[in-house]
Amino acid sequence: MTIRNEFEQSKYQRLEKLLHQARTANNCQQLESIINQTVATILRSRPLCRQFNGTPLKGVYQEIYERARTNLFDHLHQHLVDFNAQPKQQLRTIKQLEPAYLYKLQQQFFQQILDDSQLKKMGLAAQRYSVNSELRTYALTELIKAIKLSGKLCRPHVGKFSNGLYSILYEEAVAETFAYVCLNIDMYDPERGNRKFMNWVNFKLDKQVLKCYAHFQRHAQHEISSFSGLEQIRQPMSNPDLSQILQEYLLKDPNKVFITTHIRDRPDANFSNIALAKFSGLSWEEISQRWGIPVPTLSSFYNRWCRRFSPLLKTELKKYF
Amino acid sequence: MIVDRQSQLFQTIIPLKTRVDAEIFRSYQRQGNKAKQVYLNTLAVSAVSFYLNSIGWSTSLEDSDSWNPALQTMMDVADLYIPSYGKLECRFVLSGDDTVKIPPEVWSERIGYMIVKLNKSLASATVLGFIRRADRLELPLDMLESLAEFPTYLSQQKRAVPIQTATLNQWFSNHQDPNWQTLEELFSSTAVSNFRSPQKLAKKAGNRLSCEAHRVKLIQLKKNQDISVVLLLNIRPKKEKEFDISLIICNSKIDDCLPNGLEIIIVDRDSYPVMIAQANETETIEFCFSGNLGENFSIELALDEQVIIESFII
Repeated sequence: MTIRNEFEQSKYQRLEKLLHQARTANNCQQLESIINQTVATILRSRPLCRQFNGTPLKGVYQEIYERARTNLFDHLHQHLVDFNAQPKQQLRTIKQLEPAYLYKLQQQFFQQILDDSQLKKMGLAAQRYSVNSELRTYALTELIKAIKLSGKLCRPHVGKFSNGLYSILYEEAVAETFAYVCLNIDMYDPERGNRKFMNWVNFKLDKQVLKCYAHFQRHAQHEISSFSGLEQIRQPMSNPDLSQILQEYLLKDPNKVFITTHIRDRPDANFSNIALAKFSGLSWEEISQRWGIPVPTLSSFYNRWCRRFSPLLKTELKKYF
Repeated sequence: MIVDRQSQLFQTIIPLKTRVDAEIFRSYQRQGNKAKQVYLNTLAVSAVSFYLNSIGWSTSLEDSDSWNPALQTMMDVADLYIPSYGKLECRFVLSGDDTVKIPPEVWSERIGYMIVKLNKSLASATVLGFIRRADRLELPLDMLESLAEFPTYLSQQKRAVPIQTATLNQWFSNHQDPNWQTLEELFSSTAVSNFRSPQKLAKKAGNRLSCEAHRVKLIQLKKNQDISVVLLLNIRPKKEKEFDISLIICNSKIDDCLPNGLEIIIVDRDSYPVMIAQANETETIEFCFSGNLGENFSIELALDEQVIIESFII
């Protein structure tokens, strides 16, 4: 918390300094240069269009950045000129030049710039990058930040639920919708419908809220555990006990696979013995001491063969379901 | 220089359906500690899956060990499978913890470890950061790397696609395969010096019918110890578009046994092991199975830490 405050303070101090310089500028050129520096400083804390790995901004990100920059420049220029020109209005103008106000203004400018066409461009930009690539991650992260900032996310079905329930459902639905957008951005077709990007997003959100409610209803009957209740075993015990079943199967070993699979040169350190030792509650350290085999060797052997035997184990468990 | 440090954490609510999944998995365990472990691991894996989806990476819960009740029972596992990349382990911590516990059974075969803080009410989770490797039971949280670095790290973990996939049906037309030689080619090549008696190998291969195709490959396992094995693959048409395949593996020094501890696994196209064998004072291992035209499978040879994979398409 303290660090953040110090950081904020130093941000504001720097702006104050620049603005003071601006107020005492001698000529137009000097004024403009200082305003540019001021705008650059403010933009360093911008909510969107961060640089990707230090590379210069391109495409829609550059476009949005430039517009915000222009808006900030014009605002500062106008108010600084006013400030100097009309000493009587200084008290009023001074508010428009306060650092806190300027940072809020930056936020507003970005919000205003984010109309549907910009959001659409950002969505299309993400499509251009290959799946599971850093650039795509960057583009999607920017897109989600932009959607949130734009205020264009709807609040569907708000009248149907109580406030408390709605905020739970909405929060969940928004999170699911964002995950959907990110995973399925390639399915967005700019030619379909009335061509608005946010319609695609909001359509999904609309359905998602109802889906979340359906889940909620269906599962409300399930008792959801609290942390302290996790170790309690619930009655009635209608489900089979997998630990029991698997231990019995290991002992039975009908194809003699578990007992014959062993660590190199150590027939006694076989899968069956190691697994049963684990089931009996021994720690890896204890098992290691018992056999004189290092923990990493034992555990990687165990992991590897658990996975290889998985189809066998699954088949055995199927009998009980 | 003023550095603007954005929030490097990812916080998410845990949706109801995840809580329900976790409850179902938990209900399969009668032992209190194990039940709790499975429940919390499920929440952690879900949270990481959600985080990855939110940055555009696809994940597969169904292919993760942590979503498999048999493996949940056998191990303390919380992996998340990322197709084409590998498994990410998702370990949880609780409020007030300053270390994260990582069980030995997940120290290997992971591309990384994500650490997730579960809040007390279990309604939300925060992905705190990641570590690249684990070889200790407990790791202090201040060793975590920031999530900001994670997408870069993950994209570097892409598993190299095996470039050489042998097409078996081409062997019928005497197609020249640079990696798989016919017995005749092998005998006439310089590699024959590795065989003490090529006739014995031919004998192992058995009688060759005109409709069959044989191919052989020499695989060097331990260079320094001069251990190599021979893979002899035979394919014969069974029905229309169905083939019988037999695989023989023996030591290149024909009379010697296969190296002890050598594991041979035949894996289907979904990476499921369908046949497994382990060599212990064994001279030859033979597998027989059948498959359809166009099906994929691979053979995995593992000796100690070394794994060699041969891929095929019928």
